[in-house]
Amino acid sequence: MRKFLAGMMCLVLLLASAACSSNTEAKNPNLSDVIGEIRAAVEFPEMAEIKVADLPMYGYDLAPEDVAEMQFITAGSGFTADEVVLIKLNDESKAEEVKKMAETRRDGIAETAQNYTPDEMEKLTTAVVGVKGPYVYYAATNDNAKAKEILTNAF
Amino acid sequence: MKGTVQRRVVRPKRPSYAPFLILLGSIVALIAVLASFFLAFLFSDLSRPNVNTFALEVDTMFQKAKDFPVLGDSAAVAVAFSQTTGNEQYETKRVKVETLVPKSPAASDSYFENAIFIGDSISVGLRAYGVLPTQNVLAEQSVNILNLLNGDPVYRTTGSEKKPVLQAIDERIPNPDKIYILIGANGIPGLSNEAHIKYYSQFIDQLKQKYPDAMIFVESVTPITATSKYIRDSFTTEKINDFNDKLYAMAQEKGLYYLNVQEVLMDDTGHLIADYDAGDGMHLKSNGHKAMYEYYLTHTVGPDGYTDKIVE
Repeated sequence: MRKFLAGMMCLVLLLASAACSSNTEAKNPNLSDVIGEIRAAVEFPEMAEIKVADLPMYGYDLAPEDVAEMQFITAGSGFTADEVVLIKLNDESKAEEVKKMAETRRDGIAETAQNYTPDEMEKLTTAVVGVKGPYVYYAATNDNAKAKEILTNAF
Repeated sequence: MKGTVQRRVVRPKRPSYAPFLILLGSIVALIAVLASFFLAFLFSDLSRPNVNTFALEVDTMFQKAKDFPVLGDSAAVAVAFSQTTGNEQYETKRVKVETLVPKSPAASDSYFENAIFIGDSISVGLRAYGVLPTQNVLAEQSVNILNLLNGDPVYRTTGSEKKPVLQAIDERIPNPDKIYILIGANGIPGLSNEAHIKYYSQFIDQLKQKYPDAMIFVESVTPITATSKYIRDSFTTEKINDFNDKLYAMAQEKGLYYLNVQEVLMDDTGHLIADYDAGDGMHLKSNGHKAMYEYYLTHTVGPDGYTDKIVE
């Protein structure tokens, strides 16, 4: 009986360790799906899609070989602050540095928006910016709380 | 009783099932772990087609199929196609362009290869929507003529640092052969049109000194809707139109080219076409920027100062 109970305990422990290991694995979300989810949940004006090659023009000092995957949309009209940036880096150690680039860009837009388009300040002061492993994300939208929820679940 | 022999009865030992159960339990556990991994794989991204690669391939094919300006959708491509291949349907007359650039058959997008477009937030969409290559566009929110004249750092070329306009041009297109300027909307509210044009003229002098061989095209300030959120006493359609008249006069005086881009964005009432309005009655949606680009393509001047004016 004791041996039987010991065996069952081993079985339980084995199953528990398998479950726990799957929870600590890093998520590997498809960035296109993540941005699609945000676009479905949040109202945006007409947005433009930015290419990896143009990242430096938008304040991200990254070469194409630094970026494994990217989704970058920004309000193309030039007068609203709506923007979502999702970047997966090839070198995870650069993630914090890229996060700072996102914050610097946000602050620069806010500096102009203060006098030019003050209605947009709310999007910028509550903008979501974060890092998870090789992923860096930024969102300034009409509903930053919703964007944050989606991004937190995704990464 | 004495002498009784006690015999030990050896009963057969009952087999133990514990090792068997342990082995069975381990096998079941192993199968459960393998099954969970398999199920996770089935629902994971690995099993899906790579949407990003597919989207890129489609986009690449679409771009390669077009030997015309990159306008981003098939309708716009069809417009450009009809203009470039339908040249034979136009009667044209070779004329020397004095100031106002007349309509001519559409040039190819290589016409802008060495051109720089300088603007404010209204021009941001030219690069953001991919209408023009980013390299050829300097455009940021709130830029006004005094920023350009005074050398204020207003344009990002790469990174977060902003640069004065002349430095930014050097970094983007050293020695441009064409300079397009769409500036004024941010200055009109705070300046009299007379003062505004005086500063504009001084900025033109700076450009001419630095780029003596470049063709300079000044563009009319774009129209606003009748209900634009920016309308106030100091910013009206009337004041915009008056500014444009004075801009044209300045262009005549200084030997510049004048692009009346306003006409392609304006409805019959003299206001911004509603379909182009991005929401604030002044900035443009992508279709408005595409209309501007088509205007640029069909209002060109050769290096000799001549163009094939369409006779309508």
